[in-house]
Amino acid sequence: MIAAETSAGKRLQRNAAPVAAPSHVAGRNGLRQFALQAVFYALLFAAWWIVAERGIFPAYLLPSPKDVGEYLQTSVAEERLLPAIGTSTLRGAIGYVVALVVGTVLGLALARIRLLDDTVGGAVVGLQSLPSICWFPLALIWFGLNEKAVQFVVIMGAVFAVTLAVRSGVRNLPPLTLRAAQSLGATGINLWIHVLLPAILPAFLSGMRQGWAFAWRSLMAAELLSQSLKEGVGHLLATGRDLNDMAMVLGVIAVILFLGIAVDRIVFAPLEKIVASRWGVEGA
Amino acid sequence: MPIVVQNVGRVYPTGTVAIENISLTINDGQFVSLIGPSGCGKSTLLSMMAGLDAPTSGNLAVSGRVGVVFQEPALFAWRTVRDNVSFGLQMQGVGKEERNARAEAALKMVHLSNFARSYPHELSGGMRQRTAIARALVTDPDVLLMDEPFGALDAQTRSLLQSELLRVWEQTGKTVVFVTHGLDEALTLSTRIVLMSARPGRVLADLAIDAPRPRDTQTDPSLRAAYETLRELLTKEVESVARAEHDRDWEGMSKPVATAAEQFGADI
Ligand SMILES: Nc1ncnc2c1ncn2[C@@H]1O[C@H](COP(=O)(O)OP(=O)(O)OP(=O)(O)O)[C@@H](O)[C@H]1O
Ligand SMILES: [Mg+2]
Repeated sequence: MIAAETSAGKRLQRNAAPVAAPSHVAGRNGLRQFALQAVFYALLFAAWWIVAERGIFPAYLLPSPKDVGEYLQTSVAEERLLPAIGTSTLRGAIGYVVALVVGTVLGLALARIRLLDDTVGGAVVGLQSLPSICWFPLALIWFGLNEKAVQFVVIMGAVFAVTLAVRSGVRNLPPLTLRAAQSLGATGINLWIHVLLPAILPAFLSGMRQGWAFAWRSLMAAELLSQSLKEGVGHLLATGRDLNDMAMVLGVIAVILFLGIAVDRIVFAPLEKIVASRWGVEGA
Repeated sequence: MPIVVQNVGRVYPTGTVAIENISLTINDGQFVSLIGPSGCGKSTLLSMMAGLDAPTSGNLAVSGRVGVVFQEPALFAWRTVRDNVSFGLQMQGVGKEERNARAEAALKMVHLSNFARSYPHELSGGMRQRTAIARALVTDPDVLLMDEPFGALDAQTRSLLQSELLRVWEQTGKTVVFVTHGLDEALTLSTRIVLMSARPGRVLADLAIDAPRPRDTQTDPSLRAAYETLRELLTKEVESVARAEHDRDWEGMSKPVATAAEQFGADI
């Protein structure tokens, strides 16, 4: 009797769960995850502080959080950190925008022109696997050690991710969507503006997001190797190494990490969320 | 004569012969139902009439503007229901205010006024299909091609939309080509029923239906007769396909397959 009741109760619960669950459960899980992460990072930070203060490792190998904080403070006060952040962000943005335009055009062309896809398409897939910093020596010989060389590396880092995202976006369009549009009189430029481009927006956004991640990585690699240019955060990192200043190295790493994540979270994550909810795309 | 189909065949690149040598002339204002076993090439024929596919043999000409309701809704996910419906008007360059007003009128007709601002993924399957119907009707096309438009709907909604369609057709004199698996539906709506053979599709029968309206397929003697004729032809057709597919097993399987075929023929 009791067993039967329990199992009936369970069945009821199981039936009820999907109806009430989504927002509720997601909210609770989100909170739980946030709390766990906060605790994790607090413990990590505390451990670092204790290990550093105890002098278990010499300070030039492992400075304390206080030293790192002091470096960041002085660097801001000396008006060095913020201009470097500005320089790097601008550099990254310029290369990224160029990569976005070129990648989009190339991706659309590959998706629509068979011959181009059979030839250039294969090359793009191959080049995507090449770390973009490998282009730096080539860029140095072509352009010399200047902004152009750095931009070249950034563009090569981001452009293929965007290209491939756009190409697969167009390729995966349901053919019936296009036919429906054509039957309603959408041709030529109208078909592009009102159907093809909006239809690939979700794929395009994830390409944009990935492209930014690649652009930022490529830029940092290039700045590490190009110290004579206008000072960006990558240069600060290289300087920290030259000075054997571990507090500076850790501080700058934290800044680079923060900038990369901040752009992703502030710019791309909300955009992707809006598009996903409107387009009815699952999972993003 | 808005639709002329002359010895049309369609072979897909895969080698599938979907349609073989179909000839059909559809006059202004006719309401033609296309019936035939699944996979016999009805959607293929319709999409050639819509100009979205070309025949691999023969000629096909359609005059006038064409509106299409596909077998699946094929809505634009990034547009609201209203903006989906007004898409065709936008492509014609109709101004925003007018196209919104006309889209809303079309939505009213398919009983979706309250969902004008929803996105397609927020609708049920039947609501999506109704949106697609409104989208095809809103531009007031001369020829309306509909591929099982009411297949996904419940009986009540279906009969409501059938009467709406009939009203539109009677008032505007559009030419309608209507694919369906429902003999009853075809008999209720059409002025003519074209029965297609199993793949490769050919025309098996071409019946004029001129019973008075409103029709009752249960009581009208001419409709009952047409029903029997069509059902018998369909049953034979499906049986012959089953026979070909089952080959030598036919004798052993004759009972269940024949029964299934009969049921299938009754309402394919
Ligand atoms: N794009 C395609 N490529 C290859 N074969 C196809 C294609 N589209 C349809 N076919 C084939 O053509 C035949 C006819 O298909 P069609 O969709 O016209 O049938 P139908 O009569 O509409 O069937 P249903 O009643 O099930 O909708 C089928 O055998 C199908 O396999
Ligand atoms: Mg079909």
